[in-house]
Amino acid sequence: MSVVPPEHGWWKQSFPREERMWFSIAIVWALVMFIMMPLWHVYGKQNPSTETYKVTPADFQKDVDAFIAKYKVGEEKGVPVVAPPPGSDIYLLAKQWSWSPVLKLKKGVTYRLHLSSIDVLHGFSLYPLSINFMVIPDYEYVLTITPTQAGEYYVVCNEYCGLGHQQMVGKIIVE
Amino acid sequence: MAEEKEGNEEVPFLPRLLDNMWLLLIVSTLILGISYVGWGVLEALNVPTK
Amino acid sequence: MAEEFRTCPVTGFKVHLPAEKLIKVNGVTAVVAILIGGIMALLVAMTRWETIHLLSPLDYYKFLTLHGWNMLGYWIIFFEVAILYFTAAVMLNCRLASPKVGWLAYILMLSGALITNITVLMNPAKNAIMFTSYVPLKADPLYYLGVILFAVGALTAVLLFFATLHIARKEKTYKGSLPLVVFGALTAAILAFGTLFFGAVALVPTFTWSMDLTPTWDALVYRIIFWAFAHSSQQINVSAMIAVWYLLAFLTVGGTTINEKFSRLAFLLYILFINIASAHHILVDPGVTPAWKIWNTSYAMYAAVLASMMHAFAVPGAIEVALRKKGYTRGLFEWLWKAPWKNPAFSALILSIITFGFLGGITGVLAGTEQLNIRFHNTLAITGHFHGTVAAGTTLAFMGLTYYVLPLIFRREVVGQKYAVYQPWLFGIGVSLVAIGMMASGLYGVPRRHADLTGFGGAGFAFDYDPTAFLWLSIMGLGALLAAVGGALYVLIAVGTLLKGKKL
Repeated sequence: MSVVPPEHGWWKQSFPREERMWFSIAIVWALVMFIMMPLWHVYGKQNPSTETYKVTPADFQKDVDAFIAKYKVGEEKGVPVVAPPPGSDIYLLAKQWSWSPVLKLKKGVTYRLHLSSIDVLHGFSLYPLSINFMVIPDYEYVLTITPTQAGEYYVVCNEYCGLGHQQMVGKIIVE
Repeated sequence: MAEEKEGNEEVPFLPRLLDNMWLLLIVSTLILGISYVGWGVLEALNVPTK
Repeated sequence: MAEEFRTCPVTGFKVHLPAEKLIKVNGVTAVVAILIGGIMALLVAMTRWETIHLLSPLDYYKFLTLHGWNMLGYWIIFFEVAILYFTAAVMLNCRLASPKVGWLAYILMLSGALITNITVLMNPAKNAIMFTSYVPLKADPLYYLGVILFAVGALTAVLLFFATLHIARKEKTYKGSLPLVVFGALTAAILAFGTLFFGAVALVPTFTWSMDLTPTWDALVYRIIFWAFAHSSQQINVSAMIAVWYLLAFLTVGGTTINEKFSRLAFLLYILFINIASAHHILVDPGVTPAWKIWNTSYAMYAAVLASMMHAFAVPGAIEVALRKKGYTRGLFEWLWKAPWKNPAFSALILSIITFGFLGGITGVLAGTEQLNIRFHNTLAITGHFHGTVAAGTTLAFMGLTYYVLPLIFRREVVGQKYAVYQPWLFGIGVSLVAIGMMASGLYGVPRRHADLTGFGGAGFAFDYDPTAFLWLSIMGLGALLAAVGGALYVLIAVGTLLKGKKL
């Protein structure tokens, strides 16, 4: 009885057939699930990036400013719009409470997206695909991305970052 | 500690382990501390600068 | 010390009276916490239900922070402390090692809970930084002090549990190995130690930083250590819930595990591996390698998921075997139809198993996959996952246990028994709809902890979500209303019994 001490020699009890069968199925399934994760690194098309650098907020801001200055093509709602060349390093800066710049990308082209924050934690969440990554101050996270469909995408911040958190929306345009 | 012999019987490793709450406590905390915290923090502290 | 004990007329346990007092006070505090947390849940749900959109952003963040603390922190942990004292003292016919220490633990926990509630209510602009309290968001030092006091109090209770177990063995109040239910509680206590140890490592330097005594520290390192505290605390809940499953299986139908070795091995796998899965919070973070992510998030090859599967077999198996022994052997399922469904503890037990396993557990394993987490992280789907595990699963198990605690510990007959029959269903179905609504809308990208998905605060860019996402949020809202009825009924029955229940 599970509410009183077990009989002496409880460890000698053998597992009946149903338990052994269930246990075998469960353990095989656990191993299948475990192997899938590294397997997907080799064969899958979408994995979290492994490329990260330490960076100070000041240095990241400098890189972003240079990026904007080089490729700016306009402005939307007070945020600079940039159209970087294919295959280039592109930047997105998170701060309380905005994303900058607006990125104008080309479909089918690969870019290296550099994400960082200059103040607190933020969350990069791409609508409508629901692609989500953490944006952490002092860390530059580089995602290798290839837009596969044209359209207007929005970047919603999904890590609570203060009282203006709900205002924090960015934009990515794919042509 | 659980009796190691009862009559002529020796209690095997598994029930002795399960009856040793201090050992379980130490191993549990160590595994968390090393595999998750230690290894993770070590990696975070070793991120290269650009 | 003979006058310090009474013998329970129903179970025959020798009940240490000072321990019983502590069980009662922690239990009552837990119920007060779920009442407060539940009111806040309703306010928050009526805001995420965009059609209603009740609260302003400041109020939403305020009540969300406290909903988290009052439910995940205080309701669950005060109840668990009561369970720890019950399993260590009452079930082992032992005296609690030091009732004075138990009262110290209680006062620390209560002070911490009050301080956190008050600091957030009084200055939400500074202190509503969510349960996760991520550095570099900086709250008042008093907020962190509240958290630390609560954690120190809980750790004190956990150490008192170990001390009592030690005394029970030394004074030979039981013979052989611990009863399975107590071993499950021990699993919870062991996990609690690791939890609270790393909680101190995360929160003490943050506390000193909030007073400008120490510099700020690395946001990623804080996250890693914080989740060693915060997710591990959820694994305490899993273990405690499963210990309660075995206890309820016994109390409701006389069931016990078919194989002690099987169930104990499953708890051992929890003890060794369940806490490292905290890595599933860090799957889409920079700075840590896939090797670290894959090894830890899979509980080192899903060892702890295996353990959950084992309990998922053993507990229903225990119920079926017990009911078949009672003579319900016709066909495959007569035992199930003829089970004591009128006993709210039994329906709560079954609903707990189903919601924890199918809603919470499965979505957890999915979301904890390195690649799938890219779709899940920080969306409302994550919130849906843990409402399945802890708001449905663990809470239902604790509610079910309450229906025995009231007559056996408080020794009062449960009032409103004909309403109590429906209480677990109202709450269970309600929270299930909440969880499902959250999971479905989350997969459309709906973020968690967000105060305004319709207008995005009016500044900057805005867009319209797929209307289906908002439909799921409405389903979540309706579920919340139903859950509120079930939760209110639980509190009414519990409080009503303490005030008006016939003394047994």
